[in-house]
Amino acid sequence: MKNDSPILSVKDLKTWFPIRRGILARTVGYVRAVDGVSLDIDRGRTLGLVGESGCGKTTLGRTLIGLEPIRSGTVCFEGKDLAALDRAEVRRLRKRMQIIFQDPLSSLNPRMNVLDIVTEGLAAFQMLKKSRREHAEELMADVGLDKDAIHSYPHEFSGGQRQRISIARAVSLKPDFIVCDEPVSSLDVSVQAQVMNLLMDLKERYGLSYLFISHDLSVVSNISDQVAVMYLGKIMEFGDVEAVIGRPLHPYTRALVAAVPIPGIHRDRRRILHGETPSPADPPSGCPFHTRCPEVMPVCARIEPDMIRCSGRQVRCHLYSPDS
Amino acid sequence: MNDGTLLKIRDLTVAFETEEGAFNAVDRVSFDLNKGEIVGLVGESGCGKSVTALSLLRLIPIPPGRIASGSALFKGEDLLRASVPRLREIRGRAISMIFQEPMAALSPLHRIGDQMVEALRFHENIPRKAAEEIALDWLRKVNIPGAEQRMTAYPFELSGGMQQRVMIAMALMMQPDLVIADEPTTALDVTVQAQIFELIREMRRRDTTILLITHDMGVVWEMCDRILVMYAGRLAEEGRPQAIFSNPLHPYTQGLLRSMPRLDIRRKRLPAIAGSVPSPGDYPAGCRFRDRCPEALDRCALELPEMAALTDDRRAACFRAREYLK
Repeated sequence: MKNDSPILSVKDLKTWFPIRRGILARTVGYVRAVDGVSLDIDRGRTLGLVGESGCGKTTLGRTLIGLEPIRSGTVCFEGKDLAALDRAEVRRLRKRMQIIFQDPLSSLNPRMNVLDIVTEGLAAFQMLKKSRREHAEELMADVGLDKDAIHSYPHEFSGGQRQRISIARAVSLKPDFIVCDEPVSSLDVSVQAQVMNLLMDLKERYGLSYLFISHDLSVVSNISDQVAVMYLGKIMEFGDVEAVIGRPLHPYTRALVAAVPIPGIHRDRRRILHGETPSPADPPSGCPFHTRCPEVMPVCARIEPDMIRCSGRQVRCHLYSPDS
Repeated sequence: MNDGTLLKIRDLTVAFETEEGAFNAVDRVSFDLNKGEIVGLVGESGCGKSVTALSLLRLIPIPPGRIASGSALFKGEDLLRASVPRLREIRGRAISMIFQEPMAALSPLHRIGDQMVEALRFHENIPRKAAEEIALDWLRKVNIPGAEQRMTAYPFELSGGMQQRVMIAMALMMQPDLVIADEPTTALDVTVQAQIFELIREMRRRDTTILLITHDMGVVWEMCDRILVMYAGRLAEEGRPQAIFSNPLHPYTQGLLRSMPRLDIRRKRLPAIAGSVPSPGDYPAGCRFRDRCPEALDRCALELPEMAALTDDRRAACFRAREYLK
């Protein structure tokens, strides 16, 4: 096993969506949803991806598993460039990369019962080693659902149970890597913790690697080993959770962390960000965050900062200079 | 009546009759709101917090809903028995609401300014020009950049945060005594949420009373002077934030606070509450939290605990609350 090499390695990835106008649908510009992202996801670890709505975090997750076309840059899964693979190889890899969506009700087919939902992938990839029923019962046990419920339909379950069904479907093909796109955001607070625990248990049991996308910093900081902070299609800070959340450097990360209410602790309220995120179709010059940054300097509007290594993480900001 | 009390709700029960059966979405809920206070009504989806708020202005659909009992004395006047014309005067003027989805609350067909002017002139006999000035002034007060241009914009042309600011401006421009804010920041990003919080604090400085409905314990901690915790249609506990967070008296609140992921503490496993929120038709007999409660007694299956005062400013609906009180 090549345990130290990252399971997924992303280099200067761009996912742009064309803006088309007129009857000829001419491309008049691009929404730069993912605009030059480089990062590694280590085997058996969880990378939390945080950022505000529209920052491109979902598009990044979808691009990594081949659900959006890559404009430029590379995504390597175990060293293999996804773009260079033929269809059969892509298909083989696809079962090793899965996704769990935010809203299980819209991502589970309402006309299929749980048995069919959780074993559909196994059947499609000819991986059935025993009856579908036996597979389904095992998967149900894996995710803490009553195996007698395999003939029920998604609407008969509560929100938390439905998300368990999505998780069972995602782990059915024994994947190595799962994109979890806001998997607990639609759940009640008292159920959220159960589903987070389940995801952590499955990761341990099957040695999974996760990209855990969430707008909720508290959730991300509990579930992740590493955190990447995204703003307007770019990673602004990336590193171990203790560094990025515990001792954030980038003014954007600091503002995000400061905006989270923590029960029992009075937060410093001076760090409220003003304004809103600019449009990814027309990003600002220089540093994309300079229009809202409380510590903006003249250089920020002119020159885009590079990602540098500083105090045990990577950060993209003119305030810092690289560790020597 | 105590002159500090603005709204006095007693034994509010809201019944729903649906095809699946009849149930009380809100069951004998009693609490007070005092002048200039921000009170948080916190609970999970389906716990009855929104129904409580909507029924105060009789905005629940009737049928299937029905206000089965109780009173809501607003400056001495019972809202639950007020005539419909009288309610229209109160709504938007003395009591206004801010909803979670501003897009659903604003008219998509009318310009922002026109909607605000219409609301102003509905309540007050003023010329259009004067109403426009008031509207513009309030858009500026809630920090909408380019307020003048925004007056002629349609709601869909604004971002979610800006729409919510428009809602807040509309709620405030009549200078109401009470603002009911139902999950006002749930659809917004944390940085925008922080901006909206500032506005809500600003409202209180104007002596407006705010009932803040949310599922987010962090939000009530940050914002509220007093917290009401609701579970399955009933109040579970009431107290000041410091007291609730350091010494929760209801096992539901205790469980919620333990299971919440926190930014300042990393844990390998979160101590989750077992089970899920029962749907309104399926409430167990006795205490409605009993099935999920690690502390339940035999008695809890037989009797429904009522809210009882434990100290001057703490109430809880649990037979064991006194044991937990520090």
